[in-house]
Amino acid sequence: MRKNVKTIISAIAFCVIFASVFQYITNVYRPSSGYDRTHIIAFDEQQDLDVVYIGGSACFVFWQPLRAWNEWGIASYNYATNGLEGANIEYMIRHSESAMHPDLYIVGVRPYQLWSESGNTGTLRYVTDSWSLLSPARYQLINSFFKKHNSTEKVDYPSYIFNIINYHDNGDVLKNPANWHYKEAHEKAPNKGWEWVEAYQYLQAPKGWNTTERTALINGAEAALRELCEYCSSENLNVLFVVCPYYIEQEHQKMYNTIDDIVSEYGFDFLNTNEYYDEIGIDFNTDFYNRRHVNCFGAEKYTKFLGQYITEHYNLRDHRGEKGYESWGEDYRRFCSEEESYKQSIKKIMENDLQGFELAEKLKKDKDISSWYLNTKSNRYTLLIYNNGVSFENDADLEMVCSKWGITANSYGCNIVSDEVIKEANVISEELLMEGVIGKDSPANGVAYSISNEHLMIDGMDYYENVEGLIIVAVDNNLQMIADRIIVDTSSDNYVIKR
Amino acid sequence: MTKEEVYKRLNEVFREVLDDDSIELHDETVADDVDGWDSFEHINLIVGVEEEFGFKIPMGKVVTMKNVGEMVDIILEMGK
Amino acid sequence: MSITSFYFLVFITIGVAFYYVLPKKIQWVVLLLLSLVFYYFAAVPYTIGYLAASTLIAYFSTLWMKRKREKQNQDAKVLPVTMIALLINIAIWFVVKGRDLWFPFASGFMARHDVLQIDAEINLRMIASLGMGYYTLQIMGYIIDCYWQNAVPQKNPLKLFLFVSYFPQLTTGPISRYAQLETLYERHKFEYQNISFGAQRILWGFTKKIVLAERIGIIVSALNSDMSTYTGFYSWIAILLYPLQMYADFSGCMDIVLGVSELFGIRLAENFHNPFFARTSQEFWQRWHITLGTWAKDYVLYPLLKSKRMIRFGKFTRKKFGKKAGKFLVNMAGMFILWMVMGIWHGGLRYIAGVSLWYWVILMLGDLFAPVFLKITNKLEMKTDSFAWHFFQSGRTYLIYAVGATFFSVGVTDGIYRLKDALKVLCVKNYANPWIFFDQSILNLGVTWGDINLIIFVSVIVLLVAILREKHGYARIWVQQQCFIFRWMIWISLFIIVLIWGKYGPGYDASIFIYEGF
Repeated sequence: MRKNVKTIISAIAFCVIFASVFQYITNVYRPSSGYDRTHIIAFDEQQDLDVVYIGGSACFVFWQPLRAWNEWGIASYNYATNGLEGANIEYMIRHSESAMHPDLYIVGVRPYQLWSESGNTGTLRYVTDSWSLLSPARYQLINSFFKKHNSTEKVDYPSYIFNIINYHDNGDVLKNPANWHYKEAHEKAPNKGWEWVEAYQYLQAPKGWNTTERTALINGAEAALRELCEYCSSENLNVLFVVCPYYIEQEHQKMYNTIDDIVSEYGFDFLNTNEYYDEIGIDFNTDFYNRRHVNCFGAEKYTKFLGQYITEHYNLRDHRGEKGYESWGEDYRRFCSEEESYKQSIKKIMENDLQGFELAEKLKKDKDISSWYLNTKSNRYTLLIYNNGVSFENDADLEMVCSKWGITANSYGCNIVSDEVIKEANVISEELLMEGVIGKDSPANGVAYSISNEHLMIDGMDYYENVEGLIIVAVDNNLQMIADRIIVDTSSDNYVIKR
Repeated sequence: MTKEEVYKRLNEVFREVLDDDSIELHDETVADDVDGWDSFEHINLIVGVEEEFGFKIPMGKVVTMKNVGEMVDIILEMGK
Repeated sequence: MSITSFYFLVFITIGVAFYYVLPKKIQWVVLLLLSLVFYYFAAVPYTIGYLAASTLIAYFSTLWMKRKREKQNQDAKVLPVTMIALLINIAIWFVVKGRDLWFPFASGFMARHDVLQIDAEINLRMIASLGMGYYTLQIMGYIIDCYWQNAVPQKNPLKLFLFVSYFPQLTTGPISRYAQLETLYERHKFEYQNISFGAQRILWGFTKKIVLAERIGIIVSALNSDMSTYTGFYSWIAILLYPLQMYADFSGCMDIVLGVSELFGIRLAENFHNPFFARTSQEFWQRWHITLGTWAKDYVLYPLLKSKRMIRFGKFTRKKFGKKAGKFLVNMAGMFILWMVMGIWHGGLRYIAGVSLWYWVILMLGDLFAPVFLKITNKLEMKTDSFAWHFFQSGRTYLIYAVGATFFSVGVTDGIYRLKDALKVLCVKNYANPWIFFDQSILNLGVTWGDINLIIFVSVIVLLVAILREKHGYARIWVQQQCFIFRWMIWISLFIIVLIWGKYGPGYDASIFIYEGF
């Protein structure tokens, strides 16, 4: 008898050690890619939350949980990752419900509007890799995700269930201290899922986007949304579906209308904050850092507005002063000092960018080609140089001509985007001369331009004027608009500006 | 036939087939114990035994016999 | 489902649970159902018909045999029926599995005589069942055993079918005898030792297969894919690495198979016993793919040598050429047929070249020159018991196998090219390129220094385990004797090695065992 008991105990002990080793290796090998995983992992460390806000980046750069704490005493959290896809959301709610029962879920609906056909397994893994093997939602999500998306490749389910199968090959993780300290590195979401972004983009409010038309959602999006609603409704959860303020387009709005219809069927609220620019006080000139995201100025306004909305419409408790919530106050103070420095740096960028208006006026008055060029020779501008219907002497090409006043393709600060040139001056071609993207840094934040004999399109607007000659257009990268356009007369040796 | 007689004649066969006069067999002797007793010689030995004792050993027994002792038992049985 | 896949591990976990939970009376039924489920997922399902056909042929022929003998006493003429049953099995195997052997001739014949072209479609229809080479030999062994009355024919056709389709050994052997597997039908009590030993063995098999064999395979595949570039010492690397890959692959697979079977309390025969410790090539084949060798010996060689014709031939040669030479000629003939059978079983020209012909020549030469070598070593008073001598012999064994295995690896024409190339390194001036070992060009073959270190490390462990096995029968017996902390450290370390450095997961095709195709 004794021997049997000893055997059983040692067998169990061995299995426990085995499982621990397995879990440890799984954790070490899990990629420690920044805040996306942190948001998901740290969620499991949170105490009881009142509000859980789920979404993509349109969540964690918009809603400021610590501000909401300060204003109304609400304990909230941004349960969000970059590029979160719609198929994940229902299961994140399920996972959340297994541990706590928030009074309200806020769901950003962009993930349903932006549904992709094949599904992004990378963002899926942000979520599933971070959930414990004992969480049923993990398996449900993996199963549902691939049912809702059509994958061209064969799905390797075991690698989602045991993510070590996917990552064990990546020996580089062992070089990264963050991986070994996965517990310390991932536990912290000090701003409750809020992330600072130090960037700014001058925008103008979108026009003509509002419509009452509806258009169907893509593929599995509607099914996913309905299943979400059914689950939440069967559990009697409070859910608010929101669209955050951004540079919205009409096609998007049509889908939002559809989403509005669907969630209303189940009795859930839908709030499109784009209809409330004035109430929010949002200003596209100052409050954004790209077309889809606000900067911290805009986020502050958004949080104040939405916070007001939810405290009016839902029964949320005020925990200020309560025992156990002291750390929230401390975190808020730290948040404020961080906000100070971010606001300052963003203001600097803003001032620099907005200076472009003044400079454009100056440029327009400049009559001398050299000084004009000197003023545009900076990172602020992109020069589009093209030749409309003029031939050069001696079959010179554009670069040779431009080099006369020092413009070369690789000139510092001068983004020459011209290239091919019509040598036969009198040939009028319907084809596009050139096209590309101009903007601040990444192409994702730039605007498209294209030039042909009949069009000068920048960001969808046509600035074409029917003039002949060597045309140089100076586009302000920051403001994403044309600062000045000149026509250079190359008939004499001293080039002269015509306007 | 007694066991001793069988062993006497068996030793003769082995010595003849394997060309080795020093061979002495016992009940536990196996192929590894005798120099030169490999798969090919095994059949030669069986054939030699068959000729010496005058009966055919069934193939099934050839395959399963494990040691000389078993061989002797088979010989005694077949000889009856 | 490959036996190194995640799904297979889940499959056997569930299978073992059912096996011990359900009443012992129907344990064999559980095994049968598991084998059917395994077959469904591991192969093209309808091809199980081939197994069923072989089973039924064996079933009816052996029962008929038994009945005839009961009626007519032992003199009953059952040989014709036995032969027919065997020939049908061989025919099925030959037509379906041995396609490489007759298809080129057949299609050529048909083309020359303007008969209907055998097109790709017919080619496809001849999909073989899983493990056809293995179970065919196994069922033939059963029929012959019944003919020799070494076994009592099985009355239950389903039980016989289990013998044929038993899933752990279906894909790669070992080739079992009916007597060894009768334990399938017995009741097996749950023994913790079976589970722990079985699991340990499976883990060890995984280590050899997906950590060692797969890694070496990367290098070998790279070298094989571009033989015109990889010449000189590259050929040596390929020739010398391939046996290690083969051993790790095949014996690793055997460990998994035997380990899985052990979980069910069923001991299968060993297929490997430290083959490269063999001092001669003859001994090598008693240590490598053991069950194939013993099967061929018992069911082909012995009946052949004992046949009247062979005996007469032997008497003739001994009269004509003297005792020694006469024996040698008989041996040569017998060996040739035996080796051709083994080579043909592998089912391709390259195997006949690399296994049959090569080894037949080697063994014959060895036999011929054995007395000469003995004289030399005696004259030079060499210490043949020393480790150095054993090392030399093992090296020789390894090299001989490496040459034959080259055909295995790249086929006949490429094999000859590669061997010629390797010889050139020794014979042709300035042909050798030893700098490849020092200029990091090894890294172009798809491996890193880390990989190479790992290969060396695991190979050393394999060697240690082999030495322990030689001393203790099984290395794990030695492990069992150590204190439990040390034991647990070993198993956990192996687990970590397999988990982190195993070649598995998305991005790798379900690794195919080299011997799975037979």
